[in-house]
Amino acid sequence: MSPLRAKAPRSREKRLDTLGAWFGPVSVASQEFAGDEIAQRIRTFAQSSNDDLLYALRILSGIRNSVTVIHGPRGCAAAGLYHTATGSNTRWIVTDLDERDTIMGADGKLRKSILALYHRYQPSVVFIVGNPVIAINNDDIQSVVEELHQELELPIVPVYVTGFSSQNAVSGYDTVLHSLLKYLSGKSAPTKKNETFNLLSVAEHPNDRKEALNLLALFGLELNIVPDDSTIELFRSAVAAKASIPLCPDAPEYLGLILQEKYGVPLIKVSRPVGIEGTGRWLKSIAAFLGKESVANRRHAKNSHITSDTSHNCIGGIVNGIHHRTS
Amino acid sequence: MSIKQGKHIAIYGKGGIGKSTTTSNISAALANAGYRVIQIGCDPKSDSTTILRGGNDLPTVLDTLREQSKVRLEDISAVGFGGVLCIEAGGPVPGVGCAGRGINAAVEQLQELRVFDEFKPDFVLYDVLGDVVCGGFAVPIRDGLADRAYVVSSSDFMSIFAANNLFKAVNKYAPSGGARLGGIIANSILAAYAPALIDDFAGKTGTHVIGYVPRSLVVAQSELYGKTVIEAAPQSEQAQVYRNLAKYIDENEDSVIPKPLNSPELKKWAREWGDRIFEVETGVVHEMASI
Repeated sequence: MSPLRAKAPRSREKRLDTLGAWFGPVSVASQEFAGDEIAQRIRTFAQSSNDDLLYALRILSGIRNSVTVIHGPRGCAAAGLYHTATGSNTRWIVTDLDERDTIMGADGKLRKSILALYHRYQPSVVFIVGNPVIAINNDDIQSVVEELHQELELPIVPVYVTGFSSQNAVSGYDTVLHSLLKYLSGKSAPTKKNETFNLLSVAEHPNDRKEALNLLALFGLELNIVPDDSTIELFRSAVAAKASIPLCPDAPEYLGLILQEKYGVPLIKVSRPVGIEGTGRWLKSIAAFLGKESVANRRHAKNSHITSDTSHNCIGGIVNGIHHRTS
Repeated sequence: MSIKQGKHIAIYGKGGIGKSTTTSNISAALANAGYRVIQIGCDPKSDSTTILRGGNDLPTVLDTLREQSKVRLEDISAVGFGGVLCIEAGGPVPGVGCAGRGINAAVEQLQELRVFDEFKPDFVLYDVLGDVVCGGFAVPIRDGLADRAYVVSSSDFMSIFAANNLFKAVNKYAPSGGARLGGIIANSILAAYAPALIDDFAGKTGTHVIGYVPRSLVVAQSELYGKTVIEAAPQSEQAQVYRNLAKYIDENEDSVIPKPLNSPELKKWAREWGDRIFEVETGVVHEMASI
């Protein structure tokens, strides 16, 4: 059974026993993780927190030349305002469901919204984002997806976030990446690989991406950066790449997994690039895959040396785990 | 490569018309014929597979949603008569929550459990509750689950009306990958005119009847014993009727997109049959009338 057949992947709790909080010694935690079941026992109630919908919007706001329709009542789309304010690549609207829509079904409104956006912006892809209301009333999105895909001849990508299927918002990244691969990357692994490598950057700060690129420049790789600040063409290249390099092992976990399982793109196992040693290990894992360990070792030594000299003068500090040099 | 395991069939029809009884008997007949069968009850009443399980309790799929621990297939299924795997989706008690969302969640849960990959059924029968009042109850015929749907109807106008309504749902989802209509199962056939009436309705809506199940004491009695006819009275004529239905479903995969009648057409059609039945009672014989 193809991993992309379902509308959305399983939540992180079900797939990976993800917990939002833990209180106790590490020894007990690792025992429980090794055992049959682990349950989140503290902080199971949050007064307010991010949900999968918000995290999905974060990823979609980075896809260039796209339009996004949030299919729901207008309040649910307020999160989009944040992304617009911080520089969103996508243009978004909300279908603004009213009472009648929730009862009679609103696929007509959805269709109209997409056509309006299409005629105004001529995007290369349209995203439809789900919402608690239509998750509950099972409004029909799929027919609109199929009809308009045929009519407009461009990818129409539905993202089935619900707002309640997971206690961990990171499941929203998985749901969006599932849909992006399902609708943009083709049904099967391409016959020929290209010469590129994927840099899996999921909701990372642009400065961290920049630093990662600086470090990876050592190896002279041609990179597809997905999904942050990407285009749909990159999703097609990504499935024919030689390997995937996660910027961080956690957020892109599902993306890397599917690229490997379904499309045969090996995923390089890395540790989190936090701190000098961590970054060194990150770099060395990649180097080991490429057979360029000496290059990485030299760079790591240089980094460690510089840090011990300038640790008092360093203005950049540690940003999201990667040492940020001011020079 | 995604290959779906087995043939997935949805059974719809007016509430109380005999879907669960008919479906359970078809499942039993298919199992007797050597097939691996899963019957999934999609009704918050959770009574679809009762007569396959001798009335024993079965935890529903949605019961397990309330628990935090990992769910296994054994927790939400029971092997019934003939080896039929019985599953009930479950749902909230009447007047509470949203059963439609429940059906969606139950189906997702079953897919996550990889029930079909594990059990490897030849047939999966979805027995869906009568009044398809929201998107959730259409889940078995959309989202690529069932390949075919059959609608159970008697000759009573209300069940024909309900069948016509259900055709609208099939009509809506079939063009985008939903199930198509395999045909009508005519149930509770008693009056002489009944088969002709249902045939006529089928003809007008672009489909046909796949089998006629007579009203029978054997069915009522078996049900009171908590059994299917196939189990309680395997040598009876009624059992053979169900076996023939099962055989039809096994051997015929043809399906259509039905053409439901609109309100005025349905009214006119009903009136005409009202007149015909009156004439039957008063002894008027028409060409092609079945007496």
